[in-house]
Amino acid sequence: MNAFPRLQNLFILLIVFLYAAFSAIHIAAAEPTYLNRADRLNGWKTLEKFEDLFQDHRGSVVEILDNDKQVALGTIVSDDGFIVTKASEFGQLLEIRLSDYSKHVAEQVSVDEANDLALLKIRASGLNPVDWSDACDPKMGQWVMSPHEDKSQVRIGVISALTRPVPKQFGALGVVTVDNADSLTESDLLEPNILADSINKGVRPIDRWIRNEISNDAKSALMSDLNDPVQQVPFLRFLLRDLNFMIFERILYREDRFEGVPLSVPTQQAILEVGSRIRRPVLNRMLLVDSFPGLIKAGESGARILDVVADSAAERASLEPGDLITAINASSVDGSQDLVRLIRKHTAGEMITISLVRDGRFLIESVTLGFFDTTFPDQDVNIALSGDISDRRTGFQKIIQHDMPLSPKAMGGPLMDLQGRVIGINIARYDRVATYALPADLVQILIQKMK
Amino acid sequence: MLQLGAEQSFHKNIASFQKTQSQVQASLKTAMASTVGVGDSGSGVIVSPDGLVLTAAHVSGAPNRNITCRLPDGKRVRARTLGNFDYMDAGMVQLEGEGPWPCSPIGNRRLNDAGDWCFALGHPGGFDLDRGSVLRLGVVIHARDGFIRTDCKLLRGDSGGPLFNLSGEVIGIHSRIGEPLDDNYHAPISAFGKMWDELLAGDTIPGPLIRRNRGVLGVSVETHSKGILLKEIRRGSAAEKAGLKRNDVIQSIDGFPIDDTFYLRWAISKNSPGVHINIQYLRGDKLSEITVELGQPTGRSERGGF
Repeated sequence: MNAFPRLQNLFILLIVFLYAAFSAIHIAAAEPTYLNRADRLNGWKTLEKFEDLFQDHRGSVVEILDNDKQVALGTIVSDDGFIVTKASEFGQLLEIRLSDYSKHVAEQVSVDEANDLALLKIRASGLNPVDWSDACDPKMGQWVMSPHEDKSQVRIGVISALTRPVPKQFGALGVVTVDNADSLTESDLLEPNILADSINKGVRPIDRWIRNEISNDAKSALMSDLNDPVQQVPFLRFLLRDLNFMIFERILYREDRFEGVPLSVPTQQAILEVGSRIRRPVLNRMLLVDSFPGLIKAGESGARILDVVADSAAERASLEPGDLITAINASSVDGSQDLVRLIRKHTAGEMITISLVRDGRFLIESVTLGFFDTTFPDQDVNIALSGDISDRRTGFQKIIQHDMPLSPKAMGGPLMDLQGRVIGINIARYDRVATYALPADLVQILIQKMK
Repeated sequence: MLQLGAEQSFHKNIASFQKTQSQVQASLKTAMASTVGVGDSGSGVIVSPDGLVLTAAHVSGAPNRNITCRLPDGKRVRARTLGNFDYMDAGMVQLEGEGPWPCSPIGNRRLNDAGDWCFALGHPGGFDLDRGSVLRLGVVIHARDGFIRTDCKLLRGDSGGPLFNLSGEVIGIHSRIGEPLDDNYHAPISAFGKMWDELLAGDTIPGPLIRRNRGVLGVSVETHSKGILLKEIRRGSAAEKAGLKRNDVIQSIDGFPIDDTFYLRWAISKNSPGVHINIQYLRGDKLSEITVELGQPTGRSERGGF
């Protein structure tokens, strides 16, 4: 009685085995292999191998809560409750959740503005502080691991570039402006044949921007405008230079009543500043012209606001379309290009004063500049393809760069080697490719200073 | 016992990861020295001591133009663009001036397998001297349709940069990405190998014609270990007239080796109807060659067919 079922099992096993072997051969012959998500570098099957390494250090990582929502991670640096995290992610009232799920009100001891690092303190004892590594300059290619946004999960990657300072990025106001004709030189006017030339030279005006946002009709109308220099309708000339996908646009208007009065932003820098907001005027050019009659006045000096970017420094300071910006701090503004130059002297977070004319009245507004990248998010295609990134992602004394795909909400967590020693504190999700961490030696010095 | 076993396999795992790390680090010096900035904001890799650079077709652009490359130390070097194979995003650039240049070896020309380790270098966001070229470590997700897909995350500016195997051999050139982080595509080195002489000679290699202008063979196919398997021959098609049969395996067209439907599409669809092509194919074990006059497009969708 006993032997039979065993034999039967064996038989079934044999069939299963043969079938498996056959399908394997079949697959090998016909199908190119494909790596499932789970088996990729940050797939769960690969991460499983790192789980045990990470396990012992989980207790040193905390969640930073702002209004009960996780905004960042924090790293415990002493057993009596000192915690470091990324400063710019939270407001005034904050709580800490430890790995045992207990919540504690945190007091902000100090903030190092230069590196966006905050030192917090909770009332607790017997906590599990991290082990700092002595190696201050990790080598490229070295394995690293960090907790992800959900801190029970680990992510892995390698040190991916030279350890270096990252200077602070210039600030952004968030306005689209127009100039009068005085500031435009002949060299700013592009002849249509330049575009044709560029296309012939292999520069292709094919881009997401065109594909997504200009209909075929609009595109062919545009092309005929471009190819017909004698056409006297309000026409656009623009140069699309596909510098490895980076688009520079130049947009000019001409019509009898606006002859020589371009609604233009004549330089590449200016276009970067106005960002994608210029697209709307491109698409609705008649609308634009009609809705701002008499926008440009002869002899006027300054930069006229055409549009205010949503959620920008300009909007927070209640700047309005139609305002004429005449000065930044004490320097007078001579056109859009000049405005860009003056604004870029300042970094994000700096306060500037803007002199402007609204309905014939002179006003002075104080504005705290925003971050360029987040003010004009779709200007830089690299950011559009990066998912969520940190707001404050530049301006650090020294950073270690690695390639772990971490969420901005995982900043403040530790960057560890495979022994679990901390070589840095994650401080900014920079883009699709890079996450920055403040090196351990710098963090330890900053903690001493802040205590 | 079980516990011990688990621990052993765990240490074995980590040891294998550490081995990967030392292989990458051993290859990194040469790989970094040969990775250059190309043009205004692309990347490339030097593959010969006399300064031949592989890059993406959309970075090098039209042949015979003067451009500037940036060496890892920031030095600017004048260069001339060579051939351009847009369909596979394969381009070449020749550095001008005295060699020998630091260079990386080219990997073997077969497609890489899913799960193979690889690493990417390049200049995402443009050349940055303080940062240097940026390393990304990952694995091959799959290699088909003329492209290698990996989880080495790329960004604009990386275009044209090299993908290496752990021995530091160039196995691909960064081409394009999708929004998901694992959508990173590289032109395989085989795309260059197939067109090496033409690219070196500065040719612009044409891509497939648009649908209503292209010649049609009249078959549906699937990938096979020895080439491209004919799954179906359409009645009255050019393939049927020439005598091709179901289960024949196409190996090359006009001397161009076909190991991927991506290349088959190109080898057929770059021709107009009426053009004669030579097809080398296997029937059973027998290798034969025939000439086919390509037919007219039928008008209905030729999805999955050629």
